[in-house]
Amino acid sequence: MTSRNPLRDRPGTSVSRRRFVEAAGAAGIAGLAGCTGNSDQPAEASSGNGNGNGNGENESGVDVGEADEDDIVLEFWHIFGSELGSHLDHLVAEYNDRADGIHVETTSQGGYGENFEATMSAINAGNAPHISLFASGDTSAALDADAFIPVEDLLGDNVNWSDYMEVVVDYFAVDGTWHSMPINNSTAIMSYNRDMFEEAGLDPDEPPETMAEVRQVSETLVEETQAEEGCAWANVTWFINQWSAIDQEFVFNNANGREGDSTEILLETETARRIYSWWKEMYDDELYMATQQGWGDASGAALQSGRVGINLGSTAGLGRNAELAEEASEPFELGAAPLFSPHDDFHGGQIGGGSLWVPEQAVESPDQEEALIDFFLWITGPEPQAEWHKRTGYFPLHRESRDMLESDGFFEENPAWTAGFDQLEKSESSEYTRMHMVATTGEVGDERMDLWTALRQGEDLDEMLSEYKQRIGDALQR
Amino acid sequence: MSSRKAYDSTWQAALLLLPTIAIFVIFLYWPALRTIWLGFYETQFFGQQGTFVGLQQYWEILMWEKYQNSVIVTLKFAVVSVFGTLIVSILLAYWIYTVERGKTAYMIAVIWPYAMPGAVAATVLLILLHPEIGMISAPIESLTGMEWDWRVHGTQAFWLVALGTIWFTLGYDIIFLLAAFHGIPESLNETTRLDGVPQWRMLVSVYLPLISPTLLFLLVINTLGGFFGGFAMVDLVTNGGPRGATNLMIYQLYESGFRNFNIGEAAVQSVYLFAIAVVLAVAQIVFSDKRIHYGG
Repeated sequence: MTSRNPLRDRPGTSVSRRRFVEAAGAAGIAGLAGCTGNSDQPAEASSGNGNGNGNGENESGVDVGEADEDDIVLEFWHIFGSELGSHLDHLVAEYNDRADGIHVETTSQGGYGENFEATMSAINAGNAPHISLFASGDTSAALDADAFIPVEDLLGDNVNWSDYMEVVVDYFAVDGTWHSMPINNSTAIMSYNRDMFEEAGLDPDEPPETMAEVRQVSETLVEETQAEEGCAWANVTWFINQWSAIDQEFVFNNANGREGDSTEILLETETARRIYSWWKEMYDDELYMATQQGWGDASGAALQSGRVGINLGSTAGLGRNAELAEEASEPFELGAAPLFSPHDDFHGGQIGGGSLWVPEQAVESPDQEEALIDFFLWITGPEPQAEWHKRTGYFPLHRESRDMLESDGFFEENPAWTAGFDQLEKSESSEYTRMHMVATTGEVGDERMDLWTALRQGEDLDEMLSEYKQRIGDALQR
Repeated sequence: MSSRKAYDSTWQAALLLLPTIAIFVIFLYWPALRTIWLGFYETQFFGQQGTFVGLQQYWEILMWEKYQNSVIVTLKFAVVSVFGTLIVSILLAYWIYTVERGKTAYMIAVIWPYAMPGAVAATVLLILLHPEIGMISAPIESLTGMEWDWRVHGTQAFWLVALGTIWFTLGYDIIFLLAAFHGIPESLNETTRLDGVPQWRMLVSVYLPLISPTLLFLLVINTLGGFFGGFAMVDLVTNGGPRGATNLMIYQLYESGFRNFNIGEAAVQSVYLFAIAVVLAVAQIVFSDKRIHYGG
């Protein structure tokens, strides 16, 4: 088992209880557990295990230093577990080292849900952190709360937004305003076992690009190799969102909530039908392995053990998959390719992940404002973002970071890592690819995952599509 | 008039009671009233914004299909866990009471799971019974021939949660039952032994009537547990699924309040849960009062 296991990303009744449990289940069991997570967000973003004793102490093992007496202290609440947390703390320590009179304190709240809940409670209680990391799925809820300073207002003229990767900032902008600063963003990607492709007589340089091709390839893999099923991925709604965007279709009405509140899920579109019927047939014909509900390591484990030849995950999990491929009992060469399309065309894929929000009440003085600006500009700068990408696989926000990595020879050493960039380059930013303005972290997301469970239970596709259209519609309108 | 007079004035007594009353008011009565009141509001974000909707929300929750399902699941769970726990505990406690050797070892064995916090017990069960990697999962599949995957099969998930909860709450009942059994006078044992009464008959006809106050107490406690327990298993193992098969009311309340941040909705649900618990507890006591033997 592995210690990295992003799987659950839900609020707990109490953080200490959750952490206690996580310590108890140290084997990483939770990684394979049937737990539902915030299915809308890439796994790696929700890593919440083993990160300590719940009192907010820094448990990443990286010392971010001590604040001097007259330093301006900025509290930064995030969601990372020990591994990603240590990468973040590494950056923060570097910042604290060089910043004069500013000290950033990081605290992990365990997961997106927990952090959102904790931040909202803190705002209510009047002691909000200065910076807090929310999932993109929480954006509409955060905006409704009306308690945050748009980072665009905070940064003002100090920032040139065109320095940042367009597809990322375009995803996060709401009505032309940047409310929050994207920080940990990735896109869905397909990983595959190149050796297995060769064994089956498939060309590993020509990975499947459409659902129909994935089916063919899966059939071949099952026939020609040890693979039990062709491919594996977790039951998370993120992939559905991606496929819809790639196919230029909305998931929710009113342009995914961008042109008014979404009141319906569009399950009757050709795209939705195509996705679910293909997925169900893949499952019924034993070409797809249903690994788990919510994010986790199970799909990686299936690829590693050769039970499948293809898995889906996030670009931020590529490093992890490469590690698994190396450590496998039969090590293999890992391939990575953009997510396949429901039909023949590939339009724009979506990204996902979180962004940093600044609670209004926490910024009490111009000095603090200056400090926040300084920190934001630094951490989104070329070098820290290059480092961040290298360590985590999250897209580097700054455009120059990629060139820096290129000239360092990073992509030559890690060819699979270019697939995410390739996918972004293929992508057209459009109304379909932008972040959904639908609060999907709770009931709506759960019902969407249940739709797939119902199909696994053998229920009729048409009946379930209309039943869940109704149920999810009700949830959206509640 | 009473011949003993502890206090000079009522005021003095009231003053001494004040701390207790204050604690009750602040931590019990006020929050309870506030909960009922919150149920009248459609809220967002921890009650920051609210629209007064009166009883409408109470009605809507009742009509909510998901909640109706949750009520049915909870009733099933309560019946299974109340009687399951009680019957298994009586048998185990009686065996331990009558066993000749190794009594302490057996006692420790059955009480041990209770010493674990529910969350730990649930995690242990998760590791043992996980469909993919559970140690007991493969034997279950080969013994029964069924596909063991409670992430898909609702009935399996329900029994996993119910039996799991029974397993780690047994110890509580057993401690009380053992104490009750040991409170029965030894002379009674000797008499019945001389009369040659079989052991199972002893349990049904002699012991159970004698320990009926304890049974009533446990019945009440177990019933409350039936409505408020099971959370750890659901939260850590099934998350209310698959498709609501294990969505206990207490879990749905938590979902509404802390995952969907709908405090108004959660308030309504906690009022319902509270009402059910009160009704049941009172009904049991009233009903059972007539047939309980309190000795002496």
